Amino acid sequence: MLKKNKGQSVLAALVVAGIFACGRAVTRVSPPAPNHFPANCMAAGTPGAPRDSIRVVEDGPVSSQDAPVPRSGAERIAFGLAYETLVKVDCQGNLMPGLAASWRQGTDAVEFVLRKDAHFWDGAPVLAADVKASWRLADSALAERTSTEGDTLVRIATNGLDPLPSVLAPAAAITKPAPDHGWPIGTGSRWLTTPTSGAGDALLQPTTPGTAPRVTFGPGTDDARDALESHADVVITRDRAALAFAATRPRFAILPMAWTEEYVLIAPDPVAVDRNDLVAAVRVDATAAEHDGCPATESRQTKLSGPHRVAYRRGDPTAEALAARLIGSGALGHGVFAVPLSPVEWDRAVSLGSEWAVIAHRTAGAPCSSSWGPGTPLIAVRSSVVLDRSLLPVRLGGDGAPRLGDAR
Amino acid sequence: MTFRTRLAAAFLPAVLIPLVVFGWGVRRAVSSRLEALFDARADAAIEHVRARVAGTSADLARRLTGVRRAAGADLHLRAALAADSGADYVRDFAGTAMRASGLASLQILGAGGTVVSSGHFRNAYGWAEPRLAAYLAASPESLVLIRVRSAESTFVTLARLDSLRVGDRVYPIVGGISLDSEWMARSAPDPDVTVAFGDSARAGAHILPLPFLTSEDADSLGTVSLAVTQSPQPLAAISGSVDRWLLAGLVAAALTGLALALWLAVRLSRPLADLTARAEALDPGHPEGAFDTVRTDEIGKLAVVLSTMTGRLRDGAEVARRAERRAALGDLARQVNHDIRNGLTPIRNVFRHWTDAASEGPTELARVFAERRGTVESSVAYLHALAGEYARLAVPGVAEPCDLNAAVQGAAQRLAGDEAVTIRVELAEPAPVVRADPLALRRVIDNLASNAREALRNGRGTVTLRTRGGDHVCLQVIDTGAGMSPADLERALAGFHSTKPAGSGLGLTIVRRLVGDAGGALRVDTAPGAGSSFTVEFPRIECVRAAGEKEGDR
Repeated sequence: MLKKNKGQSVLAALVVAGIFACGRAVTRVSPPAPNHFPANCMAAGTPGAPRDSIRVVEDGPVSSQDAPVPRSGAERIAFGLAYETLVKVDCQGNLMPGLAASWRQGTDAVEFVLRKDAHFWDGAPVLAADVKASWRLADSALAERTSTEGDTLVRIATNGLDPLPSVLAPAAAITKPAPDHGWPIGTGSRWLTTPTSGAGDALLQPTTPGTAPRVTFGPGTDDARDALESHADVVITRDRAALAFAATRPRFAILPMAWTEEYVLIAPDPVAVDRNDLVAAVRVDATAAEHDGCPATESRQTKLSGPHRVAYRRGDPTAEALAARLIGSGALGHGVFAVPLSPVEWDRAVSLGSEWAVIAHRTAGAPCSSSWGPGTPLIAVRSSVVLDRSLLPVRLGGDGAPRLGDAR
Repeated sequence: MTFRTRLAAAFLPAVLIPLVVFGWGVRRAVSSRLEALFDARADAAIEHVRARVAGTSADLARRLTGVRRAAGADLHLRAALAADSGADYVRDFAGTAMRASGLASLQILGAGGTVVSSGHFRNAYGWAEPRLAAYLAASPESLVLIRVRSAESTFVTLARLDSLRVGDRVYPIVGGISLDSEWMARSAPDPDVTVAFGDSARAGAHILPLPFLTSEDADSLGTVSLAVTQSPQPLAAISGSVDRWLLAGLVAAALTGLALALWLAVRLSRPLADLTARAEALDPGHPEGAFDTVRTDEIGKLAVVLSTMTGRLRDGAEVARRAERRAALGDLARQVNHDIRNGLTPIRNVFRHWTDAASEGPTELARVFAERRGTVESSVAYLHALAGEYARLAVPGVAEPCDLNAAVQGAAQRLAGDEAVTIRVELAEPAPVVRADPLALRRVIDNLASNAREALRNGRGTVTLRTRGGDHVCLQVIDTGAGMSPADLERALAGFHSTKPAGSGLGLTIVRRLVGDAGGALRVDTAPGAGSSFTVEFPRIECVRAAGEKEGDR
């Protein structure tokens, strides 16, 4: 029994669940905070003159090492244009065709029919076997459940589990390794390269020249306000002060993306926290979180030990501010200190549970930790895209990331 | 141990002991002086640290003044504080001002001591520090150390109090400069001094107490100490250097002393060795000048003493020689007496024989006269020859081949005349010839024969005179007398010992000397009660050859 374009309300939950899906199991959970995107998923505006190029000041590096899984707002924009999953959702959670032109759900499997004009960046057609090969590298469990028929039919056995969240996950984007071990070759309408001139981290170009502007991603200064006062077309930031500053500049429009990141306190005992106070204590665009982002039913062990201190990953100012406020407000008791951990120390602490308390940061699509027990949700964080109004109107992706140069 | 060794061994301690005492004294004085300097330097370091604290406090006061003025001039801040709005700006102000002013801690307190803005702990807003401002205000010179905390750690600052007035509200401003390791290092006057928080129990540390407040538990104002510790390394290095130089001086003095001791030992012992060599080379007969010296020191005096002693020894030797000469003359006199008596005794016997014959008639007298006339003549000739020998004194007789049998027969004739004595003569054939002075040979045989006869008990017995030829020519005189014990024999051979009342005790002595002069040997076999046998062995071979030569010459 096939049903195309399933009901939007159900899909909305599935999309968000897919964003926070854990590797081992998928459970539908609520988003950390509700999003308020336009109903037509379009950021309205007066069309400006066509642009040949767009300069984006990124909030984090756009790296081939991450592709196709975004870890920053800039990567959400870049990877959203360069890589495709079989199906996708819009900002309202509506399931949309992606690399698959159609799909149907049976009792024991979901079948996808690939788009006939689907091509990799190098011009090679995308075949059903390419889909399974891509998943074999990115999600072996999904690949094992997948079978193909001909060049265009991809069938995924349900086995009692809904496969759509896995298919919608960024990691399930169809790619093949690049010969030079650079950017994975995708199937999107744009392709990614690393600028040879050194001007930026990544260059996003249309696969068909002239059909879309070239988008250059590069780093800015520590203060996003500097970029807003320069000639940047797009600034991606989560800094509250920068966004407040951008709001005073009529040239820019502010497009908040989804609440894709969340901070959770994991401690031996439940901690009563004032989330609104925590929102005020950080410098980023935040809101009170409503859940910890991972399924509460997940079987996780609590192995917290060590001195009374709260650890966070070094280089994360939001986690640092949260730790400071939890200590400064006395929520963690007396004599507790904060300690930043290097990436190596952090990974070790995660695997061994060697810290008394930690502030965990979770990005949508990242696996949930199986080492720590359920935590206390603190805040949800999002990035915003501050863009020149001449780039409007622009379509928004499922996570709210604008599809630059795509006004359809 | 030689004199030189003893002198050197005695000299070394004499040099080293004073030097060791001197070195110990110097080292003690140096150590005492260094420790005094050490303490003085520590006191100076304390003053330096005290001045450094005061300077830091003054610097802190200037910076807080700048913060206060900047805050007062910040209209945004004033508006936020006055309207209790713009919380982010207020909370960030202290951090911005702290970094701009180079402070380590900065807090703006609100009503009731609540933290409004904290530079070192941004998210500690709302934290209550109710007594902090009061303690700082009450502290003399507003100089207090505070242990402040951030989210990650605690640290100690030198804190001061200032205040910001906004309208009718007063906001205490507490700023601090961190007394971290860098501050401590810069507060040390030199690299050998260490400044750190410590206590009085720290060994060797000098303490600077300062008021101290722990902001998190500000119940009371306590005290913390800055401990100024000096590295013992320089002191140890100087002491080590002194020790090394003292040791080097000791070794050098020991070597010098040893060399000097050896030199002095040689120099002092050389005159003694010279005197020893002179004494060893001394001619007892001519000791004159053996110890002559020009020295006037102890060695010279010793040489004079030795020279005097040598002179006395020389005089004593002369006296001894004279005494010996006199003794020799006495010996000679007794020997002459003995020899003369040996010559006269036969004559006396002949005259007794003649007297007995005269009483029996002229015929008997004529016969006896004719029979014994030769004896008298022989004795007279013997005495004549004896006189000639003594006249020549030390001139030895001339050895010539002698018929030993004839000499023995002559002696037997001279011994005859006593019927109680049996004279037995056993002569070897052919007659053995010996090379000897004939007079000496007669004296040997007469002495032995006379002694044998006189040794007979009660004048009765047998005296045997025997000659033997062959390879070993010898003469034996055997008596059947009382014999002699070994002691008597030893004394008899030594001379001047006689068992006879009228004996000179020289008979055997003369015999042994004459036999020795002839190259022969005297052997005595005797025992008490067994008689005596005296054997004279002659070197026959020479005698025979010499006799042959004589005979050939004839």
